[in-house]
Amino acid sequence: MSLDRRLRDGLQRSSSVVDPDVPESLSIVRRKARRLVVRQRVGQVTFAALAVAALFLAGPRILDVVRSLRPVRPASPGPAVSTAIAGTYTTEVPAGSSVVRDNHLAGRWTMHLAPNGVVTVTAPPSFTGVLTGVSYQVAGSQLRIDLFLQDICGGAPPGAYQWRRAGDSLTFTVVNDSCAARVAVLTSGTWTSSG
Amino acid sequence: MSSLAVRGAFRDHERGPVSGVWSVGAPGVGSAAEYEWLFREEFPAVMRTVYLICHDRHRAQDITQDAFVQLLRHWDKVSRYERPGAWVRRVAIRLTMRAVRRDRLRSGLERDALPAELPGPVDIDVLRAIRALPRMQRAAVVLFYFEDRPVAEVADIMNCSNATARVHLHRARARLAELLGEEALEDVP
Repeated sequence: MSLDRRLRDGLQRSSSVVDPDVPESLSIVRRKARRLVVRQRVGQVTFAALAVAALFLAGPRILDVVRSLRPVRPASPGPAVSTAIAGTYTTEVPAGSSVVRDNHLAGRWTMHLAPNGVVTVTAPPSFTGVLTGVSYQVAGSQLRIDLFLQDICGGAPPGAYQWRRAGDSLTFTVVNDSCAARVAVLTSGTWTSSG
Repeated sequence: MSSLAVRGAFRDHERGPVSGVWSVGAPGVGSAAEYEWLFREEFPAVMRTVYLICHDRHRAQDITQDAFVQLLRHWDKVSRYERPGAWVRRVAIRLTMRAVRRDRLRSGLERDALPAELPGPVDIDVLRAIRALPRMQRAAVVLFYFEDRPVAEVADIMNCSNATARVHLHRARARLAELLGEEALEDVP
């Protein structure tokens, strides 16, 4: 007998001892599959619960870390403001001083102090400087503002002023400001509320 | 029907187009009834193959059941394959290989020992000789000689190249000829 024949016959004969109970095996397989699905679902639910718990416990710390990674704004005029001064004000800057003439500041100025610390400035038509990105900050009766910071007051720190409001009128008194143009605009006259 | 004839029927189903696989009185693709039909057709044959590789009836039953559990879990996808029977057979062979490897690692002493009580008309010499082969050669021999599969299918099920399958068979035959005192006249095609 050849090797191949012997192997075929031997394997065939040996396999005949395996005669499984197919219906019984089918029900076992179904039970095993169900158990597996239940185990998987329990695992998924447990994982989700652990993830939620971990987020709940570690969430505040994660937020702290994220906050600590954000750049810190410099202590300059910013969003912390008093709503007491928020509003729109107008003033007339006279063409008296040389700083007003040199910088074309004479004329009607309107300033909107928003509650979020942003200042929107409308200058007279003769003024051609930068008026965007202006902000202010109020601490008690003192106000800090960075008007003209991008051009004619470039390099100077924000100016500090005492503010006082009486009815519709708002007046500024300089406390500390090295920028003469800013002082001229803010303190030349009384600002009148227009809304 | 002889087991060989049954196996031939499987292989015809496996080779047929998807629509043909379920055409013999079977319902539409993907249903529980189809799974049951495939189970009844394939389970005994797969379990016999697994038994001839691992030589343990209880383990063969467990492994084959586990393979069919996987088939059931992936049935939505596998039922669309051209040969879902080949898929479950591949899984069963892979599980068997792992089990044989674990056994060999656990105890080298048990390597050549057959179970004390072999039920029925087994060819103890052939089983012992096959048991002496490395696991890949074992699987190749069973798929080639028992399941009567061409080398390309043996390679496909064992997830290796045709050349590798051929080498496994060639080496296995040489070793078996030596162990059984037979002359290896023919060779693997």
